[in-house]
Formats: sequence, structure tokens, C-alpha cells
Amino acid sequence: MTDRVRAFADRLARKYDGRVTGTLTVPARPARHGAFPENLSPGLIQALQARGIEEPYSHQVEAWEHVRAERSVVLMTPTASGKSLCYNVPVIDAVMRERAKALYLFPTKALSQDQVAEIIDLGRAGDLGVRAFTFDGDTPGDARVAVRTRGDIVVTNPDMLHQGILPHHTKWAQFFEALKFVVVDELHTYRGVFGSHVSNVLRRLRRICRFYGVDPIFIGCSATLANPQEHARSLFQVPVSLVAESGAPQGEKMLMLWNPPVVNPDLGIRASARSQSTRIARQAVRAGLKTIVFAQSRLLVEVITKYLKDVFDSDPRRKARVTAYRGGYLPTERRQAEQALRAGAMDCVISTSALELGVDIGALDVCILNGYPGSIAGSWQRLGRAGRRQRPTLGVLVATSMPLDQYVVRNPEFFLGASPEHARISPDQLLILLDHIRCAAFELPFREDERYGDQDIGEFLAYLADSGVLHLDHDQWHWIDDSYPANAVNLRSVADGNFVVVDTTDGKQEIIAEVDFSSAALTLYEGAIYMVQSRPWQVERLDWTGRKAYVRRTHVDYYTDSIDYTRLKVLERFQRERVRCGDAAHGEVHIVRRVTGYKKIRYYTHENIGYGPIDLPDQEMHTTAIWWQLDSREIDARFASRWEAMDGLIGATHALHTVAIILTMAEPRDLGRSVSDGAARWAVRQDGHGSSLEAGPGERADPQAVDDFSPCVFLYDNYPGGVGLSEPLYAERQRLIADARALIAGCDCERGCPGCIGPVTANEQRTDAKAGALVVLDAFGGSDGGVLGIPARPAAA
Amino acid sequence: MAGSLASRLGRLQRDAGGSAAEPSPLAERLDALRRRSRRSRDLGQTIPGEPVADGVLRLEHRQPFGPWIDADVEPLGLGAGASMEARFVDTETTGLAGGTGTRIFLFGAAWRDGEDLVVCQLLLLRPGAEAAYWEVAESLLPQHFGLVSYNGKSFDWPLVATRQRLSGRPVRQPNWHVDLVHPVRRAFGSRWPDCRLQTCEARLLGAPRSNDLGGEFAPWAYREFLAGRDAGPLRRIIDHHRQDMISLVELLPVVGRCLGDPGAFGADAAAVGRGWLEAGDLARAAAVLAGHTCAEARLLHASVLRRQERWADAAEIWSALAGEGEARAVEAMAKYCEHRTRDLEAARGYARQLVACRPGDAASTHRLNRIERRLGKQPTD
Repeated sequence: MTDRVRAFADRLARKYDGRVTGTLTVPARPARHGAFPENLSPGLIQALQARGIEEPYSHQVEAWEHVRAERSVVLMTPTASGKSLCYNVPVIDAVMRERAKALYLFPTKALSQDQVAEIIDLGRAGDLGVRAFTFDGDTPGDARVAVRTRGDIVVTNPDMLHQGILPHHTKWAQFFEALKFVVVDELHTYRGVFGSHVSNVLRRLRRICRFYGVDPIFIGCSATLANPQEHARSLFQVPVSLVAESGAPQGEKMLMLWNPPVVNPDLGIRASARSQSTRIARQAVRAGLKTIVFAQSRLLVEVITKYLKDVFDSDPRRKARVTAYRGGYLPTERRQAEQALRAGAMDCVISTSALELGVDIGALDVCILNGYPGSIAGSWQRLGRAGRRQRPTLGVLVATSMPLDQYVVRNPEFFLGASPEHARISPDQLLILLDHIRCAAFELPFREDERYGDQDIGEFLAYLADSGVLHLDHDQWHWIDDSYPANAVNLRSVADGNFVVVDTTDGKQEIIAEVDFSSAALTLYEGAIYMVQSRPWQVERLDWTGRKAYVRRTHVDYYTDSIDYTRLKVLERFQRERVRCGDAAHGEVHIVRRVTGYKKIRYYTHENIGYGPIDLPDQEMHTTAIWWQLDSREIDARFASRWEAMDGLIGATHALHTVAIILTMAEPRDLGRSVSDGAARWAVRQDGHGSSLEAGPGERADPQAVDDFSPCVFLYDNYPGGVGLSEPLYAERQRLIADARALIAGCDCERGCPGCIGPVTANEQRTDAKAGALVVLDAFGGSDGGVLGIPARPAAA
Repeated sequence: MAGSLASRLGRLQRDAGGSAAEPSPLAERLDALRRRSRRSRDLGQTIPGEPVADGVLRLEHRQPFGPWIDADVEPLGLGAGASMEARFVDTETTGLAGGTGTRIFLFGAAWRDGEDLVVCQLLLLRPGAEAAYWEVAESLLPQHFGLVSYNGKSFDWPLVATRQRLSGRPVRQPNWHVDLVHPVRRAFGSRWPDCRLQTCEARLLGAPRSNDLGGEFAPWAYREFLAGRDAGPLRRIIDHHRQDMISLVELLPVVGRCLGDPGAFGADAAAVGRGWLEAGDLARAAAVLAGHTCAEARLLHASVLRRQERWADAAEIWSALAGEGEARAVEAMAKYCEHRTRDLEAARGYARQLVACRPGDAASTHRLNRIERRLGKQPTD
């Protein structure tokens, strides 16, 4: 069989032989079927048959049996394997038999709406009389009563459960009294900080269920994970069975790992991933293949969209063939894009992870990942967007110059063969736990002997009582504060309050986008070019307290990127150890981040054409970190100059960050890094001109003139209070150093490259940063040969 | 990890820079919290009232039941016997946020007992006594009762239901519920800076309070009491709440009369009239609107007359308003002349005036063109 996708893949592989570092083909798989359980409601079977389902897949039958036996279960089967029937069938059956109720949780509103539409279709096909509703921020006030009292299946998201349902559980009494199922789809998305929050929301849900005398069955669905059962258990906190063998048929899947060509061998600089992704997308669309490009940031989505629109949509009279899709667009705009995609009206979509989840956008042929998404599950989830209809599909993972990406494409077996990611949560993280104990105490009084999760929380309750929020009466802790604590706890980000972007062009006052708090400082500063569908607006005024950015339509040939300055101060050392020539420690730090200015970058040439200042409030947090410190005597003894030492430190930090991410399976953004003195006096930074010592925003200092030049290399949890990354890193500190050392020593480059020590500078008299990084790591006590099995070679120096 | 949990919590919570003493061990702090509860219990004994259950204090106040005739409350939809059935209910709470963490610590019910008004307040002396508290509260409400409240439909009563459910008590619903905040907002929303009960009291009942501790202090006063620090503020909140209950009772007939004759109370007659119109009571709407001079009221009056098919009376109002340049009246006259009296010349005059009033309005231009066309087709005598 000649297939266009396969032909395209062959052509790519032939033409770009040197760039493809690895390929993988997952062969097509035939269907495996089972039989409908005998005691399933005949009406339901008829409805399924009317919907074209003559016999169920084996994994569906397996899931039904678990649920029948009242066992909580987690399903891990590929995209488009009929997952939703695994829970819809037993739930609808129980609704029909005993008017049981079910709560469905999806991470986004769009997914909730898709799900309700599916249930309603099924219900209609068999006249099953099942009432399914969404309940979210968009549900109008007068409809809410009907949802609460009449809904058999209520589909919502964790945020709404947290802020809208649990704190008002008495209004939902009827619902809770009959609650038999809790369905949690897209389980793999609940990891890290978000997952830790959601786990606590589920703890609160179980607490409310106990109050109403019910003990629901939990049904979870997840994309591929190494630890689905463990992850589901830590989220649900009940024993969970696993169904992982899919009986659904699958088309052939091809995956290529793609490393952009080296364009400057001296500096080890490769062509940008962006240029490669754009090129592959262009060729795919020309070959008549429906293509999706996933980019890491909203900015990149806009840039790539512009480049592809310049090629395919240059004639404004013709219908657009290319569209962007990302968070921050208004719902109507997103729905339009979804519809155009489903209808096959678009040839190419460029998206952030906003499209990663199961929003139905129809069949696609080629999926291009511009950059490694930071996790294998995330990669497969995105790649799964292509080929929903059993046709051959092609995925291309294009590496950026980021060390993690370089690691993945240079070690294909890591991605292609190895076990995928472990989803981890730390529901007992101090601040998260405290937040949710607060919410739980609001919902129901705590008994003095009551445990929360598996925690004894007396200290927390006493703390809350000391601050006047709780009152201890006999053996119960009662909420007596006048606040509504759930509103102060945002499950998805640290700080609260989205910014709206207001278009004021021609005297309008129109909201064109929303930006979450954490990225506002980086994207909405005054002077920033803000893009929607690759059309640029310029930010004229940012109302920080009012959470509004006023923008005006503009026409410029550049985009903007922000520059930030981070100070870090050690507050407390929990653990500390003398290493070869310094200290390793784990403890608490205070971090202040300031966005100081921005760069203007011209399209296509990517040259820097100007700077602008930014004046915004500092963002502060306390968090946990692991660090290594070298004292000034050791520095001066090992390096010819402190400038050289700084290059080495930056390089070592890069490598440590990379191996730390691989070891903890964290998202790169969850782990911060810094080289500084640990007392918030100075920090070592790197820009296009090399390393420099910064003693304040934009203030350079001479390292030779610093009294006590004892720099620390920090890896910190990029979340207030920490998310439990730095503690295991401290435990693995020797392995970390050894792996970082092996990563650098094993790299083919001469004097350092983005793949090992990060970007190197074009400075004529530049130091050998690669050798310097190895000196630093040796001083931290590295030995050869780490767990990642990268063969060590002698240092280039 | 080093550092006690409490100190780390404190540091994470506090803004950077503040230094705090290391908290004492848990056992000591629990003891301190228990001492706090005991002090609060002692303070409870300084509040005059009758303990009716463990942790529940009942305070009763009697005064003559004010004059109230059925005609007064009829505009509120209440009939004969309502005064005997009515239970006036108001609460003080630990906050306004709603949800299961907002609790009622002062529940007031008032009713008519022969010639007397009985105001009964229940004080929750400790949060743990809620089940008993609601059992007593239920005894204040007969099997069949009507409810009168101020903002109780969206706040007090759902909260009562929430607390009862949390305490495992049945939730009893009233036969009828009159929430005075709605008619007050309608009548005075455009006239007063706010529509709080105290504003009604000052402006309609003419009884300004002195030395009153406002309801916004209630959550604080209760926490002061629970913390065992001071019962003084709470006693003042109890006085405040009793006064609220009495005002609520007195307000009912006044609001009723106001709906029948808004002008006499300085209320927004147009808004009240619109209310009657929306409720379909044309006769009352006409009565309320007649004789008012503001354009809004006259326009509404005309539309009531139109619905009553009193065309000539309506046209009289419209033409007068049209003369004053009121576009909506001009439009009404244009329609009236074109379709009802079929006086196309006059209709054209109004249509032209309307186009001048609303430049660029497509519908107006369309109307004028149509009338011009029809005029053109008419045989010229």
C-alpha cells in the first residue's frame, strides 16, 4: 500500500539523513473484542448498537468488570481507543437501574462540553433518560439549581469542584447522597503542583462523601505513564486496579527524532528548531497532509504561524489555510478554530499544549513537536493528535538547543525504548496542604482525632486557630473566619487574577485575550508586542492592580522578549555536607524576581534591534533548593581568573539542571537555577556577550573586586514552599554531579555547546567553559560514570 | 527538616522581613486554645438571657404590636390573617461569604402574639452546640408559617437551610416568603445611596439609632467573644439585631403602602409602576403612574393606557411629550398616526421629527420613506 504519509516520511528521511537521529515505527494493530456483559440494561446495549458499536473492545469489557465489582480502576489506553465508554457504560447502567449519580472531572471546560454531548447522543440513541449537565463558571445561575437537583451525571472541572461545589456541598446534598462514581479523565495532567492541589481537592471530596455516607468508586483515565496505578492511588487515595491492554485497532505510527543541523561548528550552534519545524510543516502542507505544529510558548506559536501564513495565506482573498490555537484566546475564537479543524477546512494548525488534551479536532496526518515538551507522556499525548482514524501517521520531534532536547535526540533509546515518565505529586507539600486544610475546615468542622489524607494535622489546625481562623470547641475545630478560603487558592498557578488584554484601537474597549498572572510580567509590559493569530498589538499601558493591559493595533517588523533579574537568599540549611572542595546543602531560600527590560527582535533575521525598560513589582517566593558552594580560595586556586570561573559555573549549572530534570521527570519550568552568592548581593548571569556579575538590575560588578567571591550553584523548586524536587535531588547529589560530569565530558563538541553546557558566546578571548564546567563539577565531588550510563571521557582541558 | 512545622508555616505565610518568635509546642498551644474556649464560656454568663440548651441562650423582648391593617400589606400580596401567620426572621453571621463555613450565631424570629409583638433571639454560645441550637430555632417556627425577611431570599434563609442540613436537621420551608429588599430596591434604588435596612429605618420609619454597633462588626464581635477577650461588642450586636427585627416588623406595612402610593413616600413612581406593569396589574400601574410629571413615568403611563386600549388618553400623553422632544413619544405618535388614526400627513410630521431626533437610525428612515411612499400613492383630492 502506498500511502501519502509514508511517502512523505520516506522523502524526509532520505533528504535530511543527517538530521534524523532516530526513527520508530509502531506497527498497525488489529482490534480485539469482547462481549457485552449479560446483565447490562438491554436499552443501553441497543443504544450502543444504534451508535455502531456491535461488540465492545476487550479493554472496555475489562473495565466494566472492575467497576461492576465495585473496584476503583485506572485505564491507560491510547487516544481514540473508546476510553469514555469504559466509564459511561457502567455509569449509565447504574443511573438507569438505581438512579445513581456520577461526578466527572475534566481538566478543561471544552472537554466537559464534548463529554456531555457524547453522553446526550448515547442517551438519545436509546431513549435512556439520563440527565447529564456541565457545571462550570459558564453555567447560568438559574440553571444551577436544576443541575444540582436533577443531574445524574455532572461534568465539571477540578477548579469548580474546589471553589463552587465543595464549599456549598449542602446545596448538593441530594447529589452527594446518591453519588456512586467519580470519573477523573486526563489523569496524567494532574501532576506536579496542579496534581498536588487536585489530590487535595479529592481528599476534600472524599471527606464530604463520608459526611453524606457514601463511598464512591473512582474511575481514572490516563495517557501513557510509567506509574499509572501508583499515580491514581496517590490521587484517589484508594486501592486501584489497572487496565492497560488496549483492544482498539490502531494505524501505523512513525516517529522521527530530528536534530537541526550545526550552523556554527566553532560555537556548536545549531539552526533553530523553529526554522526546521516551519520547513517540515511547509513541505507537509504542500504534500497535501493535514499538519499540526506544537510549540512551547505562546510567542513561538505566533511566530511560526506568521511564517506559515506568509507562505500559505499571503492572498487575503482566499480562505485561510493556517491557524493558531493557544490559551489566552477568547473561547469563541477557540471554538471557531476547533470547528474549522474538525470540518477539515484548515491545512495547518499551530498550537501550544492547549490542544494537547482530547479536544476533538478531527484527523491529522503529521504532528510536529517544536521542542521536546519536557515529558514523554506529554510528547505521546501531542503526537496522538495525529491519526485518530487508523491511518498511518507521522510525528517529528524537532530538538531545540536546550540541553534536555539535545539529550533526548542524541540518546534516542531514552525516548524510543525506555519507560516513560513517572507522574509525581506531593499532596503533603506544606503550603498546598495548609491551603486545603483551610478549605476543608470551612466545609466541615474537623474532629480533634480526625486525619486528613494520612496526615495528623493537629499542628496545622492549631496554627489556624492561633491566627483566629478556627475555634476549638470541645473536640472539634470550627471555622469562624469571615472569608471564603477556596477563592484564595488557585489550583493552577501561584498567584491569583488573570489579566485581560483590552484593545483600544480607534477608541474601542474590546477584550481580545486573557493572560494568567504568572506570565503577565513577561508578556504584557508596556512596550511589549502582544500577538493574537500572529497579528501584533502593542501594550500601551499596564494596570497591574486592575489586571488590565491596554493595547493598540500596530504594524512592526519585530517582536519583544523580556529580560529578568533574579536574586536569591539562603534562609535556612536543613541538611549540609562537606564535598571535595566546598559545601552541598539543602534548605530554604527566598527568591525575588524582577523583570528589568525587554529586547526587540526583528523577524527572520532575529537580530536585536533595541531595548526597553520595564518597571513592574517584584515577584517573591520562599522555596526549597539544593545548592553547592565553592569558597573564594578554591576558586582562585583552580581558575586563572574569576571570569573563567563564572563561565565554568554557568556551564556546570546548565548540565546539572538537565540531569536533574531527567532524574526527577520534572517539567523544566518547575526547577529553577541560579548562580549567585546566596545572600542576594550578586548573581552571575549570561547573555550574548558572555558571563557577567550583576549586583543589581542592570548593574555590573567586577568579580575580581568582590571581597568574598564564594559562588553557589542553585537548583530550586520553582513554586512557593517547594514541590518536593530539591529534597530527592539532595539525596541523589552524588549521582547528579557524576551524571552532569559525564554529560559534558561525553559531548562531541570541542569547547562546549548548547547540548552540554548551554549556549556559548562568540567572544574572541573566550575561556574554555567546557573545561571550566568540569573543574567546577570535580570540585563538587564528581566521579566518572553516572546512572544515565553516558560513557565518561577525560576532560578536554 | 529543620525548623518546626509551625515556624516554617509562619515564615512561608508571612511577608519576608518580619521576625517571629518560635511558637511553643503543640500541647501547650492546645491548652491555650482550650483556656480560650473556657474564658468564652465564662463571658457567655455575662449576657442576659435564658439558657435553653447547652450552648444556646434565648433572649425575649415584648412590645405592643404596631397598627397594621390588611390594606397596608395587600400590595405585597398578603391577605387577611397574614399578620398571625408571619414569622419575621433575621440573622447575624460570621461573615457574608456564604457557603458551609459561614455560620449563624444569632437567629431572630418575631411574631404577633395577640396584641403583643414577641422578638425572640437565639445566641449560639459555642459553635459545637449547633444541633441543639437549630432544634430550638425550629420550635420558634410553627408547622405552617409565612416568612418576612430583609434580603433573606438570597442570604439568610439559604444559610439557615445550610446550617440545618449540616446539623442533620430537617429543612422546613415557609408557605410564603416576602423579602422586603426587592420592593424597597425597586422603589428607592434610584433615590437612595443604598437600600440597607438601616437606611429604610432612617428614611421611612424616622427612627435614627444612637450608639449602634453596625452589623458589619458582627463577625468581629463574635470572634472577640469566642476568643474569650470581650463580650461587650457582642452584647451591642445583640441590641443591634433586636432593633433590626423590630424595624423589619414595622417596615412591612410601610413598604406595602409605598407600593400603592409611591409618590407619598418620595419613591420612584416610574419604577414601581413598571413593577406593576410587569406583574400584569394594569389598573394599579395606571393608578400609581397617573399624575407624575417625569417623562419616564408619563411614557409608562401611556403604555399602560395603550394596553388598556385607552388610545386617546395615551395619545394625549405622547403628543405632549413629543412636543418636549422625547424621541420615544415621537415614535409612538408616528405609529399611532400611521396605523391607528391613519392620518398619514400627521404621521409624516412625526416621522420627520423622529429622523431628526435619531440621525442615522435605519428604522426611522425606513418608516419615513414608507409613509412618504404611501402618501405618494394616495389620490390627491
